[in-house]
Amino acid sequence: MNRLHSALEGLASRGTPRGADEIFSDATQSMGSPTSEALVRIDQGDEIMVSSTVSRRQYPAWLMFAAAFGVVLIVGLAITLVVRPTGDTGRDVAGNNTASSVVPGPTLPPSDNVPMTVPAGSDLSYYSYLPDLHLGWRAAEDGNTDLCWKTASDEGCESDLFYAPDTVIIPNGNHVIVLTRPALGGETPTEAVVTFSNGETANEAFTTPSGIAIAFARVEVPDGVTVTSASAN
Amino acid sequence: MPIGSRMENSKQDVSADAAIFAELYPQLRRFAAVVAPREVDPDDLVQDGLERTLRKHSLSSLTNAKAYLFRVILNLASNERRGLMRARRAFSRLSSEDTAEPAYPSDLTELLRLPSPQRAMLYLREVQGFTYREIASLLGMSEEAVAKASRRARARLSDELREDSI
Repeated sequence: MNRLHSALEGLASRGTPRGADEIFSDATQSMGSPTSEALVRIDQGDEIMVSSTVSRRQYPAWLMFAAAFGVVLIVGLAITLVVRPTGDTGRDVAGNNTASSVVPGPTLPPSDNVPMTVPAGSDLSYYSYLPDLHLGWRAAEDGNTDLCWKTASDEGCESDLFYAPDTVIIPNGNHVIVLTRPALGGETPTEAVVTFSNGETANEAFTTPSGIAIAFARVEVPDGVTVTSASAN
Repeated sequence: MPIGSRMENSKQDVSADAAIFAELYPQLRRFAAVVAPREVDPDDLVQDGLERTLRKHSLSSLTNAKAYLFRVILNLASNERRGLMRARRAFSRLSSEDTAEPAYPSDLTELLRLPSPQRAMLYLREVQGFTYREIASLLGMSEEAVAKASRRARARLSDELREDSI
């Protein structure tokens, strides 16, 4: 499977299908089909179709963008006024205003900030996702794409198909950074659920830095245990 | 025809159409997911296409319901994309760089930049394994137009993405 094939396959399988029955039923109802049993006889055998309204999840594009613009303004103001620390307790993420500006782990020197997928076997070009976490993308031998990560002490690569509920778990000192990608057409995940080797779990809210569709959550790891799995809800 | 018989026929048509649609749905859904703009739910596109088709024809009366629905879905996707591009241009004039929609810097982003018909052709060729002639027949275009659009689509993709595809 080559990369183009893989990318097309990823596009074709985006979102969660509603199912043929539901769509057919909604389509016939919203156009007032006879299945709605709304045939009304008038006069000499004539009939009209009375449509029963079925709302589709679609709004005018200008309304969606106006709403998004409003939300961005409000969130931006909130981050500026409330969340952003006043002291020198952290460092901005290469221009990304993340809610989690305080960096728990050792930081890395800023990278080029040019995210690009390099061919298999080539040196990585890293993207400053967080001050203590850089990300890069590299074509895998099988034609898929790997997400590669680097912290001050470790680095690794995994398949970049970590759409929620799948995650990538990155060890970083006394905590792990859990990454996930919102499934295309799906809901944005809000919470990471991490399971430890002692069977206990921990929940942490996801944050999505502006400009890149990858969410992260930092989860403290208690002494003496390891992280066995993590999922995005 | 008495109203009772007509209603009975209509119900039979609907049952037949439901069965045809159920069989075609997985292919239609995947096709819609490929050609739809990122902001549009593929199922909404399928539903819209089905609704428009059923307003004019029953699926059982079409000689090639699959091809008909593919074309309707592709046209709807192109219309949606044009509308969204106008909205995006207007929005970008109002907003700063910081408010740009988050994107995943990967192959999907490259593909989503292509116009819907070009994505459709790449998908049908690369994933479904159709010949240019079959794609032309399915989308109601000439074979030459399909080949030309496919070449154009490949040329627009980044070197990394197409390097092992040609």
